[in-house]
Amino acid sequence: MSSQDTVLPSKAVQLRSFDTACQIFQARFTPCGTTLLAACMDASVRRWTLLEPQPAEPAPDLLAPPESAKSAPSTKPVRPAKPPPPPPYELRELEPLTGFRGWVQTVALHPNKPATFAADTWGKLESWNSLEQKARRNWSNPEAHDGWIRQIAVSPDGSKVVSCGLDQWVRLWDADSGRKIAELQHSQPVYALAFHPSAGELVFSDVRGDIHVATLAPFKTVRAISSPDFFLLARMQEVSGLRQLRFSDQGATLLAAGAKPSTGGFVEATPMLVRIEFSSGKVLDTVKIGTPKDGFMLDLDSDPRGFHAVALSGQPGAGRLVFLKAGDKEPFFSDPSPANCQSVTFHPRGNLLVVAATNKNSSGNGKPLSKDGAYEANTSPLLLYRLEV
Amino acid sequence: MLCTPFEHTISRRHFLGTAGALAAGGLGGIFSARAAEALKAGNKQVLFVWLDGGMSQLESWDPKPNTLFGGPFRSIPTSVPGTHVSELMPHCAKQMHRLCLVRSLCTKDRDHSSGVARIQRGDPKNRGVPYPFFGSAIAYLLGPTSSNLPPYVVLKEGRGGFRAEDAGFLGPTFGSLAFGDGKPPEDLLRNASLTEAEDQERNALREVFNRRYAQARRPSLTEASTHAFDTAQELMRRSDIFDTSRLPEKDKERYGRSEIGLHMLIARNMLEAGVRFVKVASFGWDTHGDNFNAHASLVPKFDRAFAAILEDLAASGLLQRTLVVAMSEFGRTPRINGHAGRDHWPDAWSIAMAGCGVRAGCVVGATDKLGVSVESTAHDIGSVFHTWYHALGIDSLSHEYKHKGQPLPLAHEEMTPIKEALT
Repeated sequence: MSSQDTVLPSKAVQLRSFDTACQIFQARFTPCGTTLLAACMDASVRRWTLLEPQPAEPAPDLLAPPESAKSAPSTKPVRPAKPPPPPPYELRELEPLTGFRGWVQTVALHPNKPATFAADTWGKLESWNSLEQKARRNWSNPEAHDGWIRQIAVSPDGSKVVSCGLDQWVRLWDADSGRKIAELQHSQPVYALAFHPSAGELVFSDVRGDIHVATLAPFKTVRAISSPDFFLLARMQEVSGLRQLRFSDQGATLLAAGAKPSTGGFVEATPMLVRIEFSSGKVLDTVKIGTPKDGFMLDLDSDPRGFHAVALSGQPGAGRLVFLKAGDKEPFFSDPSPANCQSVTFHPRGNLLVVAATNKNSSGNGKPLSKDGAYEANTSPLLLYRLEV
Repeated sequence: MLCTPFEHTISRRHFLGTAGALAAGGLGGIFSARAAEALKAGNKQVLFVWLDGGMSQLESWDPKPNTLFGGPFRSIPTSVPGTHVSELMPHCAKQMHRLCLVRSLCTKDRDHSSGVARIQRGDPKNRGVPYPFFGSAIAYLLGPTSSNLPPYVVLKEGRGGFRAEDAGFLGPTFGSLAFGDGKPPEDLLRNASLTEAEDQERNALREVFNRRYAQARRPSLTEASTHAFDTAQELMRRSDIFDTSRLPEKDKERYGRSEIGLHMLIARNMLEAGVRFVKVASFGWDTHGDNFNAHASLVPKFDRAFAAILEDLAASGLLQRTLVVAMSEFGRTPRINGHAGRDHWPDAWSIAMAGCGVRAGCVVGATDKLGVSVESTAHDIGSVFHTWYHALGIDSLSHEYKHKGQPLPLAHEEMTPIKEALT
């Protein structure tokens, strides 16, 4: 990384908004950056090729004298030709990955092979070769879990996939074959998980916001880290605030992201990020952003320069994209323009990011109809940002 | 023709007399008429489960799995072949042969502020007077059972007390007695420091003061407080009904260790003891945000408790004379908002019924494949009220209230019972 690369961006400028035909839970760029994948509410994984602007050929200077006339003296001034503006970024949609049921809420990408893993809410886990125009299914397990698979992740070496679900199971799979390697049963629905980058361990969190550390071989829980602020029992509703787990600082720090819930029903919740020293389980700091109207940190992605891009869900119509530097109590950048952010992902080159948001006016007690009288679903615009210093 | 207590100065102590005494007459036309109804209805009772805020029909009784608005959950088969419910209701699925689902409700109110009351009052035509909640109407129409226990009891979270406004134009005496957190209202029971004799002495003194107080006031203003006190007297003798320390652990486990589980278990005891109308009110169902995680938490608790009480009422034979209803003020939108929530949807939603007069194991009506609209005959709450009255043996098409000389129909006069839901 050059010294220029270590300079933090000060803001992100929205370049384009791309309409989609569905609601998106999670968007991820492939490691090579050519393809954007999205886990969708319509039981599919949608794919787009990112077309980047190419430097344009200089336009011919129509005012320039012809070669034959160059030798002759001319009295007319020669205006320099304006280069045409570069074509904008485009997302060209590819055929989606289909055959899922319910929702697809989670996708994960192999670190060095063209494999995409996706899971649905009816218990199916699949591996696809998704970089080709016509995607191919590598393997499929329609009964990986009994019902809703909440999250999946790929091990840093790409050999294993881990999945967790509402059925209270955490399962390890061979990434190449889909064979089940090991499993452990928890006592609560499991919501989030992450592999440690090097320690041969993973972490998972449950509906009550407790974080558990498990070794991979043998696959068993070895310790727990309590994080009660992520949980609320509202009347008889268990409101789970912890939505994402990530490692940073080469695994020294565990990030627990989500919200501190303050109500059930409507679910008002204050976005919250807890940094935990992984070796000791000690909380390093807790950052709360905004108010209970700002909702959950539904997704975050980390930039190697030392900051995180966070998607805040917000109450209907609210939500924002924020950048947060490790150790800071307040975001150094906040864009309230996208409504109800669901996911955020950096492009591998680090100069772009994409936010999956929600269309405006997505909520309401009425029965809004389109011009042709249809009652339509909401959708998730994909917002492309450029990072600027 | 029924008339109202506003036209009669009556003693609540007399009101709490037995049905037989009521039938014997001598207390004015109101009691003759009501007693006749009560006799016709037999010893009918009601369990009314109110899921305040709006349970999603798509995550409960009318799932549309794997469709545009269907959400993340699967549907599961039930004890009635061909009928499916959400996977969040495995216990109710096993009780489906006792249930009647109406999947064709289409009501008017999109807001809680108006919907909660109007749905529970049956949303009749506006006659310039507030109609009673269903519980108050039944307390009035059928009175207490021979148990002498209060006719209309609510089990809810938070504070309890006497809620007169439920009764509308019937007057405060037909309001509800609410048990907050499953406990009787504070100071309802005799303080442990008082002996029974001391307590009786105090009661005699209280009655003297009451009579003096009532002389200068309209009867309706004093009846409610007298009614609450009389109710307490009977409840004092039957504290075993709601003493949670006496509930068997096995039952607590079966009903679920949740607020609704505990309240449903107490409700069973109250029905067995003879309370005419028991309402179990559960709050927190207004899931505009995080609807699916919320329903994954809430519905299984309702499912366990509701299935358990159905099973117990059936086993004891009480289900044959008890009308059971589970409902909200509306359903929830098919469209999923940006906060992963569902908003209010009166356009196409469901209720569940069971017990006396109700056709068991049936599904009435249907919504379209996305759950947006009712594609069969749509039913408003007025039809549902007629259905309930008919299930209880009350001919709501022929009888009417009489309020200050004004005849008022029991339910919306332009609507009729849902015949397919009745035996």
